[in-house]
Amino acid sequence: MSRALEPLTVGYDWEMAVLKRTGENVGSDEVEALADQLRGRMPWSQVGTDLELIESRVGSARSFRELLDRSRRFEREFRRTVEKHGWSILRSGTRPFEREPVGAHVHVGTLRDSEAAFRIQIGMAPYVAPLAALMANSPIYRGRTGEYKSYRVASFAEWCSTPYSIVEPAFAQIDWGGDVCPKIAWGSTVELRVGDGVSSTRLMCEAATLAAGLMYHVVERCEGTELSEDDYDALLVNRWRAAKHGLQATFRWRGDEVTAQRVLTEMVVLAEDGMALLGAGPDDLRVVRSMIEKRQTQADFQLAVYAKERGDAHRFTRTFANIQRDPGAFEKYLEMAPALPALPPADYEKDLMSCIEVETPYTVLVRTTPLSPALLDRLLARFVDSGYVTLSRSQLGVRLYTRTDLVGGSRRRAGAVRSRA
Amino acid sequence: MRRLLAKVVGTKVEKRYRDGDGLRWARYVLRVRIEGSAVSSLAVPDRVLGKEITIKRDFLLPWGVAKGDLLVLDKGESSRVLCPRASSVRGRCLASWRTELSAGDVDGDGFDEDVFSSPFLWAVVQPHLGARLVSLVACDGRDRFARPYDHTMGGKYILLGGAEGAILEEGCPGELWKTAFDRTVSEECEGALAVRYEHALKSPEGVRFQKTVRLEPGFPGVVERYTIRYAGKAEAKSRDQAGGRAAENEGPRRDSEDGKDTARVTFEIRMLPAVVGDVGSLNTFLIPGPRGVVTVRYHRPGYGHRGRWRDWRDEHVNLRGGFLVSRHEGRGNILVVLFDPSRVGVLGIRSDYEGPRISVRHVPREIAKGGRAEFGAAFLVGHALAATGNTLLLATRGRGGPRGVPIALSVRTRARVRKLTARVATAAGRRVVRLEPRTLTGAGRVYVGTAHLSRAAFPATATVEVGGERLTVRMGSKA
Repeated sequence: MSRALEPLTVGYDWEMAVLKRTGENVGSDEVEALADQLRGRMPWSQVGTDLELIESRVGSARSFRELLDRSRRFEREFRRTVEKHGWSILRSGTRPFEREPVGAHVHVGTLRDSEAAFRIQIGMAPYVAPLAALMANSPIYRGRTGEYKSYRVASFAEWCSTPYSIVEPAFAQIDWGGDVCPKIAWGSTVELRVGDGVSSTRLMCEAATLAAGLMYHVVERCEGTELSEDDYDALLVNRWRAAKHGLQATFRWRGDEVTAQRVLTEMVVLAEDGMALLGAGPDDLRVVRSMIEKRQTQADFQLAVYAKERGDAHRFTRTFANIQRDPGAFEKYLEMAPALPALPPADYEKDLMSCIEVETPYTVLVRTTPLSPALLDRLLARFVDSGYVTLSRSQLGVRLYTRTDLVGGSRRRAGAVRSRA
Repeated sequence: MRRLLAKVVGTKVEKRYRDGDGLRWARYVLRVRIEGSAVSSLAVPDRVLGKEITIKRDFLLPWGVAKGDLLVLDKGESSRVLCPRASSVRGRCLASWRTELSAGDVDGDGFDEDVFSSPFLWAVVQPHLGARLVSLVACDGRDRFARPYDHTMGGKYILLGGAEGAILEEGCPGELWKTAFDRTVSEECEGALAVRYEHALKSPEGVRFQKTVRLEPGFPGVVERYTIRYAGKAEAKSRDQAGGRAAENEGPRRDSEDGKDTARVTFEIRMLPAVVGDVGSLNTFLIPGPRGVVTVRYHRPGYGHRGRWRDWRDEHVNLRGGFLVSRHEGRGNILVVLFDPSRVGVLGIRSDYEGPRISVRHVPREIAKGGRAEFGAAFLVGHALAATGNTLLLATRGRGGPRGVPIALSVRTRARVRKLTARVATAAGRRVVRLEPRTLTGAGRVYVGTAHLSRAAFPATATVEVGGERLTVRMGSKA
């Protein structure tokens, strides 16, 4: 065992919404009081709050079983307490018509020095997108739907889970909010922040164990300390594809286009040694493996229900909270659900082109794109060279991009732009 | 549109089936009883509580529905309860030279709205929702405001759209935006009409907010006057005690440094102009600046991001002209907001996905006990405009009637002039239209003139020379 991650521990802080009868959040005062009650009933738990959400924290576990047992105990008590108030629980990556998205963050320890933490952060970079695909659970976000299985990941969790810079550990600074984030200043863990709020306790524990196994693998193999420009571009594009298609995504993986299913299957194998230290084997990842096999995510479950709710996010939220009274709802759905096909690689350039309108400032594009500024610049330069986009400058010197078909170009040409891009 | 919360009181399975994915579903016929609003910030009429209706719903099995379960009724289901019969009130521009006020449930939310009509526009005010100006529709049939309705923000504030008033000292988001106002109709001379809406704020205590909406046949917009009165701490306390309530919240800024009983009030107008078409950035704002009018585009944030607040003054734009224009580049769709630049402290935008949220924030005012502060704004519709940093010329076409098609020419200028004329050139010849000065309380001065042209007179141009500048607009054959 390496010095980093010794002992190997796993935990999480998992945000959940508590809803009143209407399907709206109960509010921060009520959530704080509820957390206080739960701490009183389960002194061993470290349950807390984040804005209007309950944050389930069951502490660092030394084994998968321990994590699962604690999580189930917490869930039972949590449900009992919430029901007494006449409220209900919504476990999802968003509250479909309210405020910020909701995350499930995995914490893997134990870390004693920051350089090791940065090495894990860098080494985990390629696995961020597949893990985001696995945990995709936010297909209805602020009343919008249809574009992403994880709006939370697409929107960088409103700046609470963002792609991060890759730098030499010796030159790295402690930051907050990266998709993988060393928590050496606040604790002794590396945090995986990219995961959407999860709908199933079993899945939460399995995903956390898988992430811990992968981090252990990264430490053992010293993997990922060197990334090429192409590798970095690929992992950012993959992140966007994961948000878009979940487990139906196709990733750019070591120079090829590879299905998320294949990538995650490989990742389970890579994680085996670390998982073994937590007393878990691939067979314990029952839900994860079934998801990978069927390419079904929690987002697909939500979308199946939403399809019958006439596109009404309020109506859906109440109905879905009713369904979630069954703690095993997602596992049951997974059993019934059909296998989904892999989707062709989502074309990021086409999507970027659709973000350009009339005098779209660079500031807007750089803020919304999941790409690095360097890759964004290269793509924009190509669009300009091809003549389908023009470049001008604002009075302050900000670059402004305009799609030529929107300012007098023919529709036929616009079609050509889109298909070519 | 409101949504209702309902409890299931009876269930019957109509059929069971499998969908294309092999998932099993059951179609239920449900009897449900209305429990209240599903959006707790927004009230529903008492008359709907306890009502029962029958709905049909499909549920994924094994998660069927049982008696006692709660459901949220969608817009269609809710409207069956809230507004069982279609409203007899329809917004329309008038064919005659007059104004009209009617009340009816235009949007099917269970409450009556006030509908103001004139030859140039019709407007809807919701007395039950902060007396907001929720719609402003020109004779082209296009609403200048957006009504997104579904977006719940922090503090359960809901982006209802239109133009609403806010008093920042009330708290964030405060109550004003959703409060039911008392209303009084007052007929005024020369065909004008005015409705006064009033509400006493809970906080800051002793503050009373009054809004008057005024419409005239010859004015292509709605004029709003806001009066904020402060009754004073002692009076407020005794009034509350007389009503059996203790005055608990006396507000943090009640006593000024010299010991006088004053209330500090910062008044803001928040609005959500309509975004037309798929290309968001063709929707623009024109803001007067020191070197002419600056065009700012609305850029819809991508990938679900939310926009950032931008204070336009921070971007080298001044507010001296006292106007703001919202316009779609291709389709016209012009909304002009007039305000008094000497009273406005901040003019800014937040480009959210639902649309651009504009704030016109006035500078804070200290109101002494028994005193009042007045603010104002005018919301004009138009079809063509020309603007410089100092002057704005707006042309508005109205609904054609027996006298022809009415046009209104409105000029906002920083230049000091007593008389103003516009030269109108049409296919039928030239004529001069005299523009009369109008002083709008809290919103400065505007010159307005009207004329009737025959339908064959279009396209027409109108030219105004003022302050050494010449502005010309062209009115097409269609509004």
